[in-house]
Amino acid sequence: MKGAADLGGMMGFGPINPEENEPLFHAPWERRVLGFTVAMGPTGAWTGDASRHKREQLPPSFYWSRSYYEIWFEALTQLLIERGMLTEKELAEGQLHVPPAAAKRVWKAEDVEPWLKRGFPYDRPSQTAATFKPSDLVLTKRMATSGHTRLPNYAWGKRGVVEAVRGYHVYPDSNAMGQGENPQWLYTVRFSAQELWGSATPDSVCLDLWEPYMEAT
Amino acid sequence: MNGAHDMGGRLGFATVIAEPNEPVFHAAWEGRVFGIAGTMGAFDLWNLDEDRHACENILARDYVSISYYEIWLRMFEKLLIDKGVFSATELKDGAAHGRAVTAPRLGPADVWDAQVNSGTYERQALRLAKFAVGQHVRVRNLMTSAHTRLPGYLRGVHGEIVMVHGCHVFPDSNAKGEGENPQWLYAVRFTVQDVWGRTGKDLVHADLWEPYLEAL
Repeated sequence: MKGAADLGGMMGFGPINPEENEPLFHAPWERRVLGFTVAMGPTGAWTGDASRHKREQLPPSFYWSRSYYEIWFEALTQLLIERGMLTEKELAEGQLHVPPAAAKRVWKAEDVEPWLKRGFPYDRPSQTAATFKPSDLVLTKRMATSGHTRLPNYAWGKRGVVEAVRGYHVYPDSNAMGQGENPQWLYTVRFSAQELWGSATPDSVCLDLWEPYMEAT
Repeated sequence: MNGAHDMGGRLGFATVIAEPNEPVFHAAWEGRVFGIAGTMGAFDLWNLDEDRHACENILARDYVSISYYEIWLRMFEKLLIDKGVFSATELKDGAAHGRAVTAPRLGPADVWDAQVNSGTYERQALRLAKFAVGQHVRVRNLMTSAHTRLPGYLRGVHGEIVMVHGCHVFPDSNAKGEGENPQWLYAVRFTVQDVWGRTGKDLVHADLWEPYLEAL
């Protein structure tokens, strides 16, 4: 969706002031929010794509004025409340009022490091042949959806060249919406700055795009 | 510019809640801000397009969090400081320090005239219109940090000329203080298929100046 998160090409945010020796966390609560979010993964209550979608649905007035982990925390609590794992009252009082819901899997402290080291691969065995190959010219679709998509708005309706075929990967547009993994071919596509922004500079932008986002041209 | 005001097609703002019997102003200060707008017109320190651009330049996070007249007020404060009418200190103190700017004085009787006869933006054409009704055009992919009346969602989209409005002040030039540079203005029709990739019979019309368009 073209929500507050879809910022490519947007102006008016003021200068970026990089912080020297930026710490990983600016306050202990940020570390806890990262911990909560990662710990919800193994419970299987939602997918990583669903939590991205929850974040991008936050109103721009919120999304553009809060810090990174404030956004994470807001999306996390909304998901927990929606899935019946937390109530507003519990959140306000910090007390359990409803017995905990059953979780598919809960990590113990000793599980965390091996699981994080192993990672969470999103590639799947392919079931179809890839439609495009390197050097193919493609045209992206105009994806005005209120659902989740990884095609940024600035790359709607643009011509690009396939740079690489990345394999067969979980399709975020389906996975975020609880419609299953529906894996699709994933490509790196190169777009000229001229095509994207009408800019005369020789720059280009590479995007990783799933097959349903594009057609041959 | 591709700023927070350019909202066409942006999602996530939640429901629009219409207020029954909405008053013209929600507080007395809103009426005063509106009054400032009328008064500043008489100063002739800037034009309409410059003040629109000053609104667009308000930080995105503020633009989407403050009310309509708060945006206006912020814009007036910025323009009045930029044009040297008062200083940031004077604004903060609510008192003049030093010089005063002389300005035309509007009596109550002049206000209505100033509001109603704010003039037309149509100008004498100096050349022929490039496009005619029925012609198919493509919107140029124009990215600028300056003012434009071309909404972002139309960049690169194909449409059809449905009306020729005449030759009008070109906001993109006027906002920069580069003069009126009048250009032909057209009503252009777009399908929702071309704009949003949606099926359906809905259409979008936009009034677009000739420099935004190219022949197909």
